[in-house]
Amino acid sequence: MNLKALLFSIARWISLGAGVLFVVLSLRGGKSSASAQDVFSAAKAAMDVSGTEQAEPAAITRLYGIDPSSLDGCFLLFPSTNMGAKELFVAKLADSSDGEAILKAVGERLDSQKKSFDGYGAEQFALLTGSSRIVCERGFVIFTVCAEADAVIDAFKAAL
Amino acid sequence: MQLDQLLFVFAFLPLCIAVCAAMPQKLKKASLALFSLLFAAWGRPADLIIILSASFFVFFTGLEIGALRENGCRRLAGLVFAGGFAGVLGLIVLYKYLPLTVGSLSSLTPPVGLSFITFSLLSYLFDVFSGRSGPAKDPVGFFLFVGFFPKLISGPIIAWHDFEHQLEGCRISADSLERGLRRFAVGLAKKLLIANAIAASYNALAASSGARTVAGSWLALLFVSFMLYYDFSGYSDMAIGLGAVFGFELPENFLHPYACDSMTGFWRSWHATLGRWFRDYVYIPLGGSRGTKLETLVNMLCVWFLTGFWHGGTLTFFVWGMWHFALLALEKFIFRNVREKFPHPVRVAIVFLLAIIGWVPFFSDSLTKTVGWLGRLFGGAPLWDASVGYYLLTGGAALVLAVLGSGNLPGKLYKKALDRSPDFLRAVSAVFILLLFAVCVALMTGETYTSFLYAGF
Amino acid sequence: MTDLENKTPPDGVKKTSFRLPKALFAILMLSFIAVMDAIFFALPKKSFSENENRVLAPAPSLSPSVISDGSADAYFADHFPLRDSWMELQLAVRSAMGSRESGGVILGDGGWLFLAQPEPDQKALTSSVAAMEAFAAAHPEINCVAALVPNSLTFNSSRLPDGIPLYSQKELLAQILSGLSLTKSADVYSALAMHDPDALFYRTDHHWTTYGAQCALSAIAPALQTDFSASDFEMLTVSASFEGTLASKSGRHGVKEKITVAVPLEPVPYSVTYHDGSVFGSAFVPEKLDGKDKYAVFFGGNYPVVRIVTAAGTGKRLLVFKDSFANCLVPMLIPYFDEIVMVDPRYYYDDVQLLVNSAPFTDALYLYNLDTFVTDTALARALS
Repeated sequence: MNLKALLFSIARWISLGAGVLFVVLSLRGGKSSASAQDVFSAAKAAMDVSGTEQAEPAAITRLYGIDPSSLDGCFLLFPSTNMGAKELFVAKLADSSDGEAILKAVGERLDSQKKSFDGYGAEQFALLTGSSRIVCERGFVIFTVCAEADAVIDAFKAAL
Repeated sequence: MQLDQLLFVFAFLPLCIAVCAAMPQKLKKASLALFSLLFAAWGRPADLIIILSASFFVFFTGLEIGALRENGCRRLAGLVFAGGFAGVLGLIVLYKYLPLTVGSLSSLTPPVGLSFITFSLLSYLFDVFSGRSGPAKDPVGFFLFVGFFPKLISGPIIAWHDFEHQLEGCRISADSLERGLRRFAVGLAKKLLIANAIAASYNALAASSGARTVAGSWLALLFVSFMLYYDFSGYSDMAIGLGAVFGFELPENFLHPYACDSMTGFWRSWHATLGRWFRDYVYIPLGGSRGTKLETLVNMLCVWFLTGFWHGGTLTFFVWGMWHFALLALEKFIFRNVREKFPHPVRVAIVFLLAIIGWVPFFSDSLTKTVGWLGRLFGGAPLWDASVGYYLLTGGAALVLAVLGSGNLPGKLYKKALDRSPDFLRAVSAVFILLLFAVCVALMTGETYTSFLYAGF
Repeated sequence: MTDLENKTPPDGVKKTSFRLPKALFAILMLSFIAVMDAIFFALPKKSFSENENRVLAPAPSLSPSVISDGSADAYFADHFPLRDSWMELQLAVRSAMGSRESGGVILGDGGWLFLAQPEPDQKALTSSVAAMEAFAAAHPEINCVAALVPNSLTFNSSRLPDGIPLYSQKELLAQILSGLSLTKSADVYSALAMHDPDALFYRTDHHWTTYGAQCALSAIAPALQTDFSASDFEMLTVSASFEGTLASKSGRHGVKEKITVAVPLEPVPYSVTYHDGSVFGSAFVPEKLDGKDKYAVFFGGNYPVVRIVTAAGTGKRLLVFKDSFANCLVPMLIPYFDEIVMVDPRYYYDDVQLLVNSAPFTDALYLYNLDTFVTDTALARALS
């Protein structure tokens, strides 16, 4: 076998490898098989939860307008008092559920919270505008408002 | 990105033309290749990685085969070719056919134009291995062959041995712009003004009670037959026109198929480049019609099995393929002389009928639905329904225009006028096509119309 | 050699024949594109579309992600020059080709627009009816009335395109109401059918007019055991330039309509309290008449809960489960009830039981238009 053919052969295998690697990665990037509970716990562990409490499904409906039974699991930590803004919401999308609708509801929740605190609670308003994250990835939606928002998102992604 | 979007027509295309025209000859191909990369990546950047890695894989495979053959290592070259062939087949099987059966793969979406890219890659491998063409030395030219944006999404399919000679002719001129843009605008009108209108009527009819009547089933079949023809041929016109702008001559794909008087003629006029690809790379290598009748039949069966399968991996496409195999075999061997007995218009009508019946399985989700639709065409259902009249009225104009435009008459009239007064025709047609283009701009804008309803709805 | 280019006319003056440019069409098309692009870059961008009633896409960020997120596509399309004119042209072209629908709206004769009928969700209907009956059973002291309002195309069949496939709202109504026994049903259909359809509904909006609501009250009021009479009210025109939701949805503009409100001849003082605690002295919000959504002059739009307390002194208290159709009807009930609480279950997430217990209600009214009701799941959810 001559040198030219060998070089081409190497290039050929590298291209093939790149393609196969990409396919494998994109397969892995599909829906996460983690449970909503596990992802929620992992995200929760990364934040300071003082001043928050876990919500009943009815409260999720009341605050977000989402029907928890339409999702494959959702959990909410919301402020215990009217003056709190810290929040953590994790939802696992069911096959039929619409990620767009959930994102819209979460966005509306953030907007209404911002409106409530605008002019009354400077600290809370700053948290809502600067330290809030909404992420939709691999079949999960997370919404967090807290000082450690970036760490929470990292923990969320790692748990997927 | 799609060819019938505002951003493409008003931003991407003029920019591409301007840049390509401004570049020196040496860089024209590279700029086109870059724009094609952008086109492929737009909206779906992940696709590009697959397209590029597949292209590089085949590019280096070709070079390796060339290098091995130079040294006389024919067997090794054959192995490398087989590997390349398997790789390309594996790609399309993985993205197009395995997700149908393996649930965990259903998240894999095929890159845009994968079915057509496969043809380009395989054509290259065959041409290089058979010695018909030398391997491409320039990756830019090769990538342009695979991913040239006019033909990336839906063809026309061009073989490597036809494309490689055109690479040096890449240039923009007043003549290329005139021919190419005219063709593009006509194709755009075919798609937006006729195909989309018929599609809207078809979708509404299919969802209504009218679809369960005999008349409704026939109307739906007519809708579907012309919707597909105008959509696909309109797209082909756009692709050929755009190719022409840059100095490339892409082969004709549609030659008035519904005006043909034989099934063989139909398949040389409907998606002609597909038929040619299968003829050159499957039928003839298998032996074509040079052997016995049985061997010919077997070769035809192979081609039609693959043709059906290429369109989709479900049973309905297989049935469609077999339907056309049967018709072609019958025409070739049994009815060869019977045909002459019928006058030309009758032959055209029969071929048209047989061809459109083939669209029933093509457009059905399942065999049950196929049988149901076919049954309703020939009775076994209520004859008529008021809603069929509604869809006839609302979709009829588009259908009539479609039927009139699908014959040879408009072309003949145009030629006659061209002979009489070319300048006048040039001016009138230019203005007419410009008006059509304006209508298309309106229709493209209409596609993006959304209204947000009040909170108090 | 004779010069064929310059033919000499009889009077001896030389003429050159005009030669069309070879690339005539290319020049025309590329100029057209260039002009559009120039206008696109030169003109300031609107942020809101009146016609489509939505915020237009913001400028895309100049980062690599613009390739994948579609923001450039949306921006270019939303701010394409003469967008509204192109919309009109495409509607004209499609209408010329026979299309009688646009954006889910049926284009009728005489400027009439009709909302295309939604496919009834039988499961949702069954659970709504069951929830209504369960509520009536659980609260025998409350007089429950269901008033389901048919939509404008039921009474305007002559204005609809021939043969358009539609189901009969009359039959659907009969089917739904046959499932109600504990809940009384007001025959809104017959009450409306007696009057001229032109005045009952808006031409460009899916709502009924105040006059239409008043006609329906001749059936609803007796069911609620009030002595409502249309002559107790005076109709005031508050706007003559109303263009409704259907004009925006379909893209067919040009028709302007009047909005009237019914004001009682003998006014009864009342206050309106919203879910956020704000209190107003009127059911009408005149500021909304300056905007696009003029129907919101009635109560300002849809809210989770609106509580009206009056000095009527009749001893009756009404709980209304509603959609937006009730907004123009409820003001006409104010003189007959001490208290009216309107609940829109699509926005109300709290416990309805708390609401029911908040006052000794004597009557409950379900006021929905059929197009909303046939797919509604919020009512059943709220009542359960």
